[in-house]
Amino acid sequence: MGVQMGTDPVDAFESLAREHAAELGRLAYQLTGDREAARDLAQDALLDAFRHRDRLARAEHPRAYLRRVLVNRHLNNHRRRRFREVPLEHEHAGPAGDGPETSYGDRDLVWSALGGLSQRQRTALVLRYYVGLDDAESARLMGCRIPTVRSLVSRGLAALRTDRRLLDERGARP
Amino acid sequence: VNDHETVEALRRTMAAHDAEAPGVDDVLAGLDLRGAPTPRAHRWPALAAAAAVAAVLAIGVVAVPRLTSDEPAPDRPPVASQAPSPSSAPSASPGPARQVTVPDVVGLGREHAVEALDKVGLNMLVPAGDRVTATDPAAGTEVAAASVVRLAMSGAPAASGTPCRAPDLVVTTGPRIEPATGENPLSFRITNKGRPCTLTGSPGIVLRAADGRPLELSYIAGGYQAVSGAPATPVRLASAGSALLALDRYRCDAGYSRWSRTLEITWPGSGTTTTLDAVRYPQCTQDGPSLDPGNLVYVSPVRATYRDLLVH
Repeated sequence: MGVQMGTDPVDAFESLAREHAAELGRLAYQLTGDREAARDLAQDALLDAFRHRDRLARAEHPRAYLRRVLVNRHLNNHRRRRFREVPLEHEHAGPAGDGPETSYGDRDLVWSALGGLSQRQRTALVLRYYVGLDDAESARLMGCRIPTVRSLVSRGLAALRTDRRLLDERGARP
Repeated sequence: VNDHETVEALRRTMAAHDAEAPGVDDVLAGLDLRGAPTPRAHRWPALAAAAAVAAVLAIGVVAVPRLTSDEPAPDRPPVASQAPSPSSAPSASPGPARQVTVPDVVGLGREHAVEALDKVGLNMLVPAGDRVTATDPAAGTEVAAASVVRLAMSGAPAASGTPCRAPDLVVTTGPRIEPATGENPLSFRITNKGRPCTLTGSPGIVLRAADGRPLELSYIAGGYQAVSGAPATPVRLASAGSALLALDRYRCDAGYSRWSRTLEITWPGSGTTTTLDAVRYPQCTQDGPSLDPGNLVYVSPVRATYRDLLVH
């Protein structure tokens, strides 16, 4: 199951990187909400993984290993620089909504609200609801305890709820 | 707007924005691997999280055959065979003891108190109950890292009946508990050879290495993962009747540092102690200032049935 490190480790790593780059890009985008930042994060994670490719070679699940490196990197980034205001007016216009209940407007409100969460809250929500990890796995990935993950998720959801309500009210002009 | 709706909206939102993420070529463009440094001998904390570290817990209690839990990972020999014999097990190196300050956790709920103590690198004994009423040593005391802090809790389960005493109790390996996510459950059957008596709540537990020193573990009364954390109720053991008890904990992601040889069980109510030999249970390798989650051992209350013991 491990990564084959052939004669040229760079070639071997590149093919692995190619295989997982899209998934890492998507995860990074869910975590950062910003395309540029996501690309940087995914690249940094791949570089980190490459530097420690001896560990990657031993990892049973390269995919999970890379995900972990990326989350680790993301949370460390946050520790280093408390960065990036995510604009409330979200600029990306996506395809039109596929029904009145799931209108694009609602998604946009939620996406904006995600930008207002703390890095760790957002990470916990992404790991739970996007990646689909359980509390124990998330805790391990984030380097914290299960109760912390639960509290990050519930506070994150509470904040989204409040935010949506506020945004809904603001949007609901007569 | 309830949680369920929020979660659904969140899932839809995340899925809808997936398409905006940078693609393979974006991510790979400008990724200069040839210019990257080579691997260093750097310790990355528990990176093998996904590669679920296999735990083979071999215990032989009172001539019961070994009980194994969890499957060995395919690329590793089973821990039981690679682990050194208990007498040569490496002990946690005392090293220069880092001093830490006992934080003030009085008034906190269990989970928060556990977290606060763990964060500074202290072990703990946490009895059943809702809130911390006192700690020993008290907040502000300077102690060596990994020292044990005893908590007193409010709302402990009320005992009733005549407490069971060690000489009357025989402890053997209990039924197998299937670990849900690779944690380390271990169960015991308690059989009463004396007159009818009652056990209420979680016993005190100490795991010791072959040299008699306790493993550096925290013991927390309550359930974990597969093991039920429902409040304790008095369990009456008739003559020749039995009850169950379980230990559970997160797996050791970063490996094992020491193994236990004996398990001491101090029974609630009577304070008498039963010592079991040949109970092998690991202490996890520490990989940072805070303690490894695998070193928090949850001790279930004594339960009447297997069904009561588990989460359903």
